[in-house]
Amino acid sequence: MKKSGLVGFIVFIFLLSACSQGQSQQSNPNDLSWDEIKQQADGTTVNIHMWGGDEGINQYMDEWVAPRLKEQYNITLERVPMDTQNILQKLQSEKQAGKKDGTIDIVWVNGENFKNAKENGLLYGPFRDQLPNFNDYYDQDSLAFQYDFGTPTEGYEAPWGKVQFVFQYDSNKISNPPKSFDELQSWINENPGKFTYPNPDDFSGNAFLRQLLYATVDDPKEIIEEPFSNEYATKKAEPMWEYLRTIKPDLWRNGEHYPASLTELDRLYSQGDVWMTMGYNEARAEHLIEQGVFPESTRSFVMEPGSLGNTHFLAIPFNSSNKSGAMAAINFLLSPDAQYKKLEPTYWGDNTPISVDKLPEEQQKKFESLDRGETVLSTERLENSFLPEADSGYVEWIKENWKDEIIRNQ
Amino acid sequence: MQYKPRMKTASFWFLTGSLFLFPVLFLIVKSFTLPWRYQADFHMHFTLRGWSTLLSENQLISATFISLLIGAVVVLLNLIIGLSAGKALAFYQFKGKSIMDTLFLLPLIFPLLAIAMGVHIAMIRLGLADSWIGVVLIHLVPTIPYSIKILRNGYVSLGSAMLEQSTSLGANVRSRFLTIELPLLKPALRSTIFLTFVISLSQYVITAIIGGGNVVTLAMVYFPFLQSASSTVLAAFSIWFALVPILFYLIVEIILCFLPYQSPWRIKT
Amino acid sequence: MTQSSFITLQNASKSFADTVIFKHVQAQLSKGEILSIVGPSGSGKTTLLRCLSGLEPFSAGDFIIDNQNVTKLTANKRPVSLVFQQALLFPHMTILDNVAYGLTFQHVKKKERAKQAQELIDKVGLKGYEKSFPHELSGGQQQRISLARSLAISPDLILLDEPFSSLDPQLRHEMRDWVRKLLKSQQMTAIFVTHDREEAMQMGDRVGVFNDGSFQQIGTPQDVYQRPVNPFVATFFSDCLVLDDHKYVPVSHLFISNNTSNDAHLQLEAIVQNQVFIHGETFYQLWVASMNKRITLPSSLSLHEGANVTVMANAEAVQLFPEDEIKE
Repeated sequence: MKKSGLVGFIVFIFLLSACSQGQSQQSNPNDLSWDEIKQQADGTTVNIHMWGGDEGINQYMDEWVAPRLKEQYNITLERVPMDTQNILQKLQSEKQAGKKDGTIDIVWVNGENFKNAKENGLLYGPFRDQLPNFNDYYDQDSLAFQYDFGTPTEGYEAPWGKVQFVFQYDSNKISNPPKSFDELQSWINENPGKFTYPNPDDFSGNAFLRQLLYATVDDPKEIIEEPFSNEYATKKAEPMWEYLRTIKPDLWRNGEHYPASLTELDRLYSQGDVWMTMGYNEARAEHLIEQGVFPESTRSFVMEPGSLGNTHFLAIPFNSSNKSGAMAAINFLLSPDAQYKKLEPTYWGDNTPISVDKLPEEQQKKFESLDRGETVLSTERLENSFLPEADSGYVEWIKENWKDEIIRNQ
Repeated sequence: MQYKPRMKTASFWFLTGSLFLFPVLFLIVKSFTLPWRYQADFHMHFTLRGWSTLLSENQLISATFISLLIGAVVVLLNLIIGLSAGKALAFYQFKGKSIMDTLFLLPLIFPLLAIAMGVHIAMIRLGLADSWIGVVLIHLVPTIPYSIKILRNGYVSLGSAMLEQSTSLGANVRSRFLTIELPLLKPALRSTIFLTFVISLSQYVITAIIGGGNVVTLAMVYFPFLQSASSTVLAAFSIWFALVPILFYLIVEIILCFLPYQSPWRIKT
Repeated sequence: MTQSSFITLQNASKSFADTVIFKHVQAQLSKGEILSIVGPSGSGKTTLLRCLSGLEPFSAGDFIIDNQNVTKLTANKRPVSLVFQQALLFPHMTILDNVAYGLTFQHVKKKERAKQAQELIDKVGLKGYEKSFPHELSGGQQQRISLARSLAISPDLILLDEPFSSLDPQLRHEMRDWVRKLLKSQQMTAIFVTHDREEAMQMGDRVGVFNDGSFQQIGTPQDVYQRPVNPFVATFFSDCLVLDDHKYVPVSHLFISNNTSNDAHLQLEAIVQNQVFIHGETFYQLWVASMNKRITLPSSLSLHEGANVTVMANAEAVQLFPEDEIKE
């Protein structure tokens, strides 16, 4: 999910002017058993507010989730298309105005948005550890669930899915995709004009640089484990800038112009101007091929030392009027069935954060034999290359410094 | 410069064609074909996928109706406020008139988002947030300045003498409004109605904030799709989005026919 | 004045904030009478008309029509109709609808409305135009329809505010005569405002010279012309040479001479400025330096521009203004 400095700024302004009001939780499901929660949730309506720009995701929620949730929990699910920033904006105002009977029961967040929401007390929790499906099928100790872009989750959000950063190439034009950034550099050198990356102001362009940062330091762990500071980043990033300056003359249009967005890069790829594209979703090529945007010969690859991945979560607003319903719905969304359907390419193709080895054998087989499509790398390959996101401070830092290092320093 | 009528006609069709007809036709074609790929082949691949995806969006119909309803109420309030304020600004002299004039334009100068955020807290306290009434009220902010401006100019070009003539002949305020003001302001009314409706229809951020997702207008469903890579679906959706104001326009035109002294059968030259 | 007065205006005043437009205006009209109000622009005559029509309220005073006090009635309820300088036909209505417009507020049935309107259209000589739209008519035709429209509601009083000012001179002359005949044939009581004294004389049974917010004099055109009551009327309406605040000489009693004469009571040095020819006679415009005035006199003498002449008058020609100013 995209995050924006704007939200942080708005939240900051509000904090300056806000006379924060104490907010008491009503009907706190914290003290209830799961059975009692299920009972409270029975016959209620749950409003999930989430970004609505992907028809596959929308249909998954409307056509698959909603009817089954009704059937199994007797909960009516209302999906409302709304950008995460706007949701948080609304919650912030409601918090300030002291509105206790909110209309949002579930939000879909991660990264910077989660950090802002949690720090400003916009979320209800902790609730995650009460969910039976989370306790049964997920790895409680996984760092991917304990931290969200460096922010401790502390049970305020439950993992719903995960994505990994992968590259796409046209197998008709390239037989052996590069296995490391060094090989990529040689390939670019041999095929001038056939590679570029989006401007780091773009979400995907920024992720490409973070990925490169991992590759150009001695060990990615240095970046992941060390807290962000300007001095440290400046020291560690020098090889990355060097790499970018080296490939620049051989990039598309000699590196004088960069695509402003991933959509632009995808278009260059689909028109054959460049031979590689990339994106923060390991299954993205499936849809784009189906829609006729990408050639059918498109395949994916990841490179050493690994592929950047992040988890996205579901959370409950502080003023949800139906917290029990929200918990029951989230529990359902975390269930193996729901996760399996989400993983299938039919609707969404989103990877699952579930621990397959914790599932009953039959389910395990189902997951393992699932064909996510030819363009998607194997679960094993993805898992082995998975690298967690570092502190979200790097996102802004890269945005600010890329122009100085690459555009201005010719 | 000499203007030949034939040249004029030709340049009219050229401009209309290149700036209006071609993009619209292109959009329609696009909504029925797969995205065209360079170096692939030059055939167009017909598909109904864009439209079937669009029509399977289960909030499409209800969102369209909500948008029509909210737009209609916004237009109505705009007419009431615009006609009274526009008339006052056109005909009456009072202290601070030029200041008022500027104040009415302020909502266009301030960022709408800032206004919406300020108004949101007040609306929560008044219980108007998350309701369609609140959305209607916030839609007045970006529309009222235009309707006041347009209708004020309408009244100025109508002139106070025309209205006084009607009064002198015995018309009271109501019948003068119906028989003289409304019919003669028709062009201004038409612009106001169409403009305010389109503005209301395309409000996304303020609808999302004030409506809080409870009021799902067409913009709420449509705007997230702008980030979608499938140009086929987007094209189909855009056409649908454009059809709504056209539908509203037709309804308005029919209503306008019922104004007094409309004689559609006699063409004025 | 007149005992059986149909319309009476008593002590009418109007002021905007601190500015007095007119004060203590008195006037009376009998039924069917036409009063011309003539005065320079800015004299307040248009505001007076707007107050009479009800578009502006009087600040003080009473306005009585047919023994009914209408001062408090709004414009649409007053039995008064105003014809503006411009025709102001409603552009979206046919000529017939325009003329019938006022009748719709008088609970007249549609058929009857059309019949009455058609009669008036015929009367103003525009038969056959009833289905046309205003923009298809010439300026003069539009003004005639405008008049017909105001007549259609059968007002007790019709007010005309320089209705010919936008027409060309030729048409204006024709219209004056024609409108007067039409008003008379309808026995319409009317007040006609103009700044043109010739038009005022031609149109009005009586004329009222309006200046500085009040009537300077009201009377028949002949009366006012021949016996002006004060220097303003004498210069603005009548053709007189005002000698001082008390004495004047009608221009008709002045004559031009090349010489001086002992007989003449009044002798003024003058310089010929130019000559004009009107109605077969030669008129000279003369500059009287001693009085700082210009006068126009007929003469059979043949004079050159710049010639020095003497303007003379006999003793009996010198008239006195009435001692006490008569203001009606």
